[in-house]
Amino acid sequence: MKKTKTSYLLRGTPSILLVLGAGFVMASSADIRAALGMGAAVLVSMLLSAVVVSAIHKIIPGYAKLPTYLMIITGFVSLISMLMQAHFPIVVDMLGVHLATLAVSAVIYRDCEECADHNGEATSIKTALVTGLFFTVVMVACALIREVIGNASIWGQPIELLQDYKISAIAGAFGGYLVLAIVMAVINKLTGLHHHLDEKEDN
Amino acid sequence: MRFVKTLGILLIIIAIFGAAMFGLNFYTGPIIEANQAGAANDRLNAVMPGGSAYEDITATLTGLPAGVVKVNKETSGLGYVIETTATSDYTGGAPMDIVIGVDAEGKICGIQLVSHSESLIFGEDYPGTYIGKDSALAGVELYAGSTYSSTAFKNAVEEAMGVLAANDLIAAGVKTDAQILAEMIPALHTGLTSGGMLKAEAAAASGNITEGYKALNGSGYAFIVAQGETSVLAIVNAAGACKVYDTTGADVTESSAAVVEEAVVAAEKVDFTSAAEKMITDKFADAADITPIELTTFGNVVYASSFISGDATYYAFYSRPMTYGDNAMEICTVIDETGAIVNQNVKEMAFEHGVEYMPGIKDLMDPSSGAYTSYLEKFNGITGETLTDDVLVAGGTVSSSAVKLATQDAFNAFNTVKGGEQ
Repeated sequence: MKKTKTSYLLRGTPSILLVLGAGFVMASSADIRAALGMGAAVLVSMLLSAVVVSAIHKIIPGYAKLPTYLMIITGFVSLISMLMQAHFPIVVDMLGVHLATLAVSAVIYRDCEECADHNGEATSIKTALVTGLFFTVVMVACALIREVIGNASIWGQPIELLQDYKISAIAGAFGGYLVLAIVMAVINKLTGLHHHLDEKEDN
Repeated sequence: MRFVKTLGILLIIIAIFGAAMFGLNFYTGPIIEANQAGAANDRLNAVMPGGSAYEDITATLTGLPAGVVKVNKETSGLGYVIETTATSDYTGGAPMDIVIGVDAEGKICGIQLVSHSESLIFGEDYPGTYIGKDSALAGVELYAGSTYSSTAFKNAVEEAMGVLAANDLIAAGVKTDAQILAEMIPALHTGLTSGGMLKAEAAAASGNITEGYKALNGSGYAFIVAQGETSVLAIVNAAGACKVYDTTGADVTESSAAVVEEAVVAAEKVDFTSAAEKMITDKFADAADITPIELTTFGNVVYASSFISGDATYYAFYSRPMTYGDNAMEICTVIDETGAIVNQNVKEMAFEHGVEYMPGIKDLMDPSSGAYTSYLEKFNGITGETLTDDVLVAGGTVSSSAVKLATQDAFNAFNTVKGGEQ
């Protein structure tokens, strides 16, 4: 049981351990609002996809799992995208094409294929929640650093004190990967998650 | 069989999500449309307090000036938003993009300069001086130090407001006498202008003088003088000659002796004799019998005289047209008895005084350069009838236009000396 919990926790850290979804973090973490929007989109689409996949995985033949799961994920991402366009148009503008490409995100597909495909609804929901929440936390952590240092603002509001000291490169693609790398290093140092992963792979 | 089953599952998934998206679109579609319309209206709402929806009425209007891009009517009746442009000819770049909100009473309720490519632009607070004004724009002044841009901006606003008034959408504003008279100054006294625009500093009001304009180049004054219930315009040249005009532009000097007297007293004269005579003798070392001529024209010429060189009599007109940076150039135009220029002497092309000049005309600033000499020699033989834009210099339009204007003023003064009309 303990091993199972650790396994799920490890699975909930795609951006940290496997660097899955790093592109989304880079593209969507220059502003906290965009980071929260992308985090919420990932969390909800992952949750709904996991529920449906875990419910129907037994009737899907192995060779049809990839197109079926992708279609389910794409459907939910499209629905979520429509709702976000209606209620959070500013965030959708910030995310741009990256919101649509969430449909083919390895983060969500991996969750469906590796967890929901082998477990019941309860476990799938729990895994999806942990994964989505952790993804969101990483996104927001990166966004907090990048927006303050790179744009000298927070939640889109300028921080007058920092206007002369902002480092624009941090808000760009280079800064996205740099900050993600730093956040990964800090989290790994604090939690030792890589160590657990190594142990898991050794076993 | 497995294939059919798989295909069936995929089709069911497609159908479910398709139906879900179809249904959801009924909910999100109108909201998204409203959001998009709202974004497009943001720039209109910014100048129309309380505005929400707009109708494009451009096609229904007549007499649209070239600069006006779009006229929008606020659908709840709050007023109109005009999207217009203005070009100052200062930088030659993209025009200024201006949005003007006009309320139902015909007064400006919001105005924004959205974008521009001017190298010298007025302050951010300048458009705010238009708020509350009707189409007459009474009390709106140009922006000191950015005359070209602010003039283009003001003209664009005036044109845009004029469209609404001309199409009976708002009541036309009524200009005050002082406003009408001030707008007449550039046409009546070119000495108070630069690039065709009024360029003067305020002169103290006193007695019946309610407004005063003092030329920056010493070429004279313009006064708005109260006369009973109306006002008249009195212009005074460098020599102290005065003319008076009413609001219709009619010359009423003869019936306005008191106004003339008051204006002449208020005008401070500047003596340019020594500066002018030096420019004459610089080019005509044997100049003799230099006799000042009383100036009766109103322009950039501030001194005139006749002199003898060799066996011929010549007429010298010393003028000080305005150019960049509120600087006055010094020009001496010498004309012979036939009315042709025999010598044009421009002391400097007025790009000095710390003003950056364009590299293409750098040589024109250097009196020892061939470009400078050949530029001035182009004027030799020109008469009042043959003076054309050929004397303008590409890349130095402002300064060479000032030289041309001064030359034209010299010919006008020459004509009066010889008994002709201006």
